[in-house]
Amino acid sequence: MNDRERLEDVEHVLHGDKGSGAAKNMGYAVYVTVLLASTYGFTVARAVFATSGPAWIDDHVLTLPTAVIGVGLFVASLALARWAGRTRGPVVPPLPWTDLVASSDVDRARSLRRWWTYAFVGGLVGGAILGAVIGGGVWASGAGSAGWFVGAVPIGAAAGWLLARMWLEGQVAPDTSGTATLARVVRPAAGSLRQLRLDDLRSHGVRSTQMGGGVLAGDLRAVRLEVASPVTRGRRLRLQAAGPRAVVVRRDILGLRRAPGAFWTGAVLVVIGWAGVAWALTDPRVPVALTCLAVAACYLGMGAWAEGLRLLGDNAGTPPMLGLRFRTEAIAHLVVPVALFLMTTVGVSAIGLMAMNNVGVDGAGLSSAGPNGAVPILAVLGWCLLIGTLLAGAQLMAAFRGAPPVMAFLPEYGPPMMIYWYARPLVLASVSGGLIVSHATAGAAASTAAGSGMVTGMLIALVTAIGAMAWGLRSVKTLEEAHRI
Amino acid sequence: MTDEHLGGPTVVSAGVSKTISDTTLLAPTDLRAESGTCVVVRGRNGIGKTTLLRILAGTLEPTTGTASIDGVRLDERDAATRRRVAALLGAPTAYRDLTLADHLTLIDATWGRDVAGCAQRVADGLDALGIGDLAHRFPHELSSGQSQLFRLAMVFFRPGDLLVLDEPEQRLDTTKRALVGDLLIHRRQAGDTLLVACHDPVLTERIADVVLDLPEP
Repeated sequence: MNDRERLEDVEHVLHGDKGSGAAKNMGYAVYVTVLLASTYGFTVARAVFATSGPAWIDDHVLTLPTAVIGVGLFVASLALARWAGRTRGPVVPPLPWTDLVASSDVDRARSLRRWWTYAFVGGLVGGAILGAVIGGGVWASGAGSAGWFVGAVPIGAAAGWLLARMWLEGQVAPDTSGTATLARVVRPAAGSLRQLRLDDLRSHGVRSTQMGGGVLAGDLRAVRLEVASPVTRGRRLRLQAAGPRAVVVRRDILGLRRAPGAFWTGAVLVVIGWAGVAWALTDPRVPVALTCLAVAACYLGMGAWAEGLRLLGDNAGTPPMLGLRFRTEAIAHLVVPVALFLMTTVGVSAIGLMAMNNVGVDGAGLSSAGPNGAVPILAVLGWCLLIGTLLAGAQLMAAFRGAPPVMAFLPEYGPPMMIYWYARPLVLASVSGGLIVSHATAGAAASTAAGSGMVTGMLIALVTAIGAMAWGLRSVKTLEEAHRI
Repeated sequence: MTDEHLGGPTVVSAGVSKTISDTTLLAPTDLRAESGTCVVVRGRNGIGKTTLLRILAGTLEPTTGTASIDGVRLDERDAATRRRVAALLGAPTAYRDLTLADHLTLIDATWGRDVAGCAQRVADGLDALGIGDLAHRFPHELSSGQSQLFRLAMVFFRPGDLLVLDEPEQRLDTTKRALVGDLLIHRRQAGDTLLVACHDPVLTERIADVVLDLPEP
């Protein structure tokens, strides 16, 4: 009896004559994805490119800087896929399969092939669909030729395949360098599958189960602890005593020094995000969706710097150890992420304005002329502060969101309710921030009175930022008192 | 047993109970802990010991009855209550990016103690629990017993003259249980009031002035 026959026997024992239905399930998943992508993705993409127009695409998409940014983002995605593979790889069979089947002398590449196939097909088809949505959107909107569609599909599929392979190599050889991992992806995947160890399969399986349980139960702390690498660096650094609030700030700085990955992740996201926001502030033709994405990147970046805030949220309800009011401590934990955000965004704005090569001096200070007219430096600084406050409020909402609503556990509404509960701070911050920035820029471009449109936009942003902070602080108070019931 | 009452609070609970829907977590319970004494709470698993201690730490509202500290309603939202009550009820969440010494430094600073003496106090605080040599480890690098000692170190380190401890002997070997017993006796002799849930008869015998066996609901 060869390996294939033995595995067929195993499948028969487990699933009977009907089989596992894996191929059918995979086919159905592909069908649903294609359906959603063609219904919603293609429609949105076509609308975005139709409103932008061919000139905008020529000026802003088909440029060297955009190509460099695109390649940079793809390389970052590859690194992320490899990192994800170290924590939770694509090959995660059920634990009994690992212990009872993968442990036999059946060729491991064959016994694990099904789970790799899921990732492989997902990457390949997902990439092709994404390419088809973007390329098809450009073509259907009249912003580009059919070549966009023809070219984007294979490029997307190849990118998806590469991401899936990096994900697998991250699981197979977690300690290999990034470059060496990239070199391994050209080898047949079967060789990589044969290198997977039972212990690793088991630990990935257990972690996957715990992460899944954490997600379903809305236990974000459990998920974070499963995903995060334990901190081991900076042992010689010391937390220096200071005043009650200052020591909390120092704690957060020390935390970032010991977790430089979090610091740099936040920095990269905020730099990219704020570059997008600054671009949207100077050009009313930037699509609103892109502005929202830019604000979302800023939110995620600030979140990477706000570990202390989340840990405080985790601690809500436990007897207090620190001599600060809960709310005071929460506000103190905002100092580092907000300060880093302001420093980064002011720096990015300054570099951007200088790069525009038309810096001048007017009564309000330095100003830079964008397509919609002058954008005073003071206004740019104001936007940094306003968006920073909005995002700080959203961070409070996220860190102190507490337990999911009861409806999230009902079978009828559970998944969408749970997704809404997770995503609410991010969606609120990115959508409101994106809309406000786009509206202000459009208002400034349309306004005849110099600066009046921008001022109106900033006033709306101010009200929204104050509202977000108030909501965030309300979340702090609610969670602080929730355990008393 | 000691007669020294140097200033710890008197804690009184009168008919406190906790019910959620139709499930009784704690039957109505009376308790009085005089200043500078130790009350050990005993009872089978699920009888409501932790619930009672949470109420007496001011972190949980009783369904019926009242709980007070020196005549003032126990409520940890009140800064005065927080200054007095040092509690270990379950495992407090530690910062994964701070060492043991950093945690005590953080606690020390937030209570406004003088900066100059902080390092020495931190060292003493860890040494008192026999974990001075672990000062620069991160919490995830500790064994379960060491983790329990670390939690106790944090509770003993912060100010407070009412100690509320839920099974402090958990996960500790015989030597460390004796050490914790010594520290609790020392705190009681210093005048602090102690409320302790405990399943260890030897430790109970050593520290208890009063033993409260929770009744079946």
